Amino acid sequence: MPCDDDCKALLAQLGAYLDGEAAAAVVLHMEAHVHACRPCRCLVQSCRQTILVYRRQLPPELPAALHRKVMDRLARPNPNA
Amino acid sequence: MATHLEPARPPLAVPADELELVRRAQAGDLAAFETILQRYERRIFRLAQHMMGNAADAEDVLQETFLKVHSKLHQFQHQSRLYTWIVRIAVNQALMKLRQRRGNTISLDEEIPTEDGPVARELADWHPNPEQQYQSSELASILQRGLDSLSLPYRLVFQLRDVEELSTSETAEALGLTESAVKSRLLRARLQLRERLAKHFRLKGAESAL
Repeated sequence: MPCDDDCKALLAQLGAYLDGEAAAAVVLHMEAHVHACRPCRCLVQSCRQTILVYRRQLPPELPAALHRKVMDRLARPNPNA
Repeated sequence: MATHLEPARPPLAVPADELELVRRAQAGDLAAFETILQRYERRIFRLAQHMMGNAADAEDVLQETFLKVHSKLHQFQHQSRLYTWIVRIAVNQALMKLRQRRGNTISLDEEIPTEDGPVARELADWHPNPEQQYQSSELASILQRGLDSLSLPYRLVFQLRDVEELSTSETAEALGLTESAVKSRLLRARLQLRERLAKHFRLKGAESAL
C-alpha cells in the first residue's frame, strides 16, 4: 500500500484526518474511500486504536517516597541564597 | 462512518487556579509549589520513564526537573501552559542524562529520512477494546515494548502529542522542532507503532500482507 491514487491521498492526509484537522471536503472524500477500501479502513481504524489504547493508559503511580524526596530537597536551606 | 479521533477524555485544560498557584509559588509558598508538583509529577514521571527506559533514571530526571522548575519559576510568564513549560524542562533534563550515558550523540533535530517506506497492507480488524484482551500489566508491557521500539525522536513526538495530548505547536515548542516536522514524525510513529501492535490486537483469523 498505497495501491491507487485514493489510497495514496488517504495516507498523505491520514494525520490531519485522525486529528480532525482535515478540511471538510477532504474528510468527505476520505470517508467515501475508506467505506469502499477495506485495507484503508483497517489502516485508519488500527491507527485510531493505537492512539486510543495509549491514551487510555493512566500514568503510573509514583515510586514511594519520590514526591517526598523532591519536597525535602526544596525545603533544605539554599547555601547560595 | 466517523473514523477521526474523538478524544478519550477532554484535553488537558489549564486548571482555573493555576495563575494563582504560580503567583503564590513564585512568591515562595512551598505548599503552592507542592500542589503544582502533585498535579504533574505522574505525567512527568511517565514521560521520563519512556525517555530513559528505566525507573531509576526517571526518578533522577523527575527530581532534577522539579528542582529546576522551582528555581526558574520566577521566569515563567504564562506565555505557554505551565505544563508545556515543565515538559520542556523535563525533556532537556532527560536528554542531558541520556547524553551523559551514551556520549554526546543524542539529537532530536537530526535529519530523518522522509521517503515513505512500505505500509503494511492491513486486511484485519482489530479487537475493539484491547483492554479486555489482556490483563493490565500484560497490556502495559506490550505498550511499553511498542514505544521502546521507536527511535527517540519518534517516541517523543508520539508521547507528547498522543499520550500527553499536547497540541502540535506545544510539541514543536517543547522539542524545538517545526510543526511540520512534528506532523511528519507523528504519522511515522503512529504507523510504526500500529505495525508493532498488530500481532497483539488483531482479531483472530485476520490477515495482513505487505
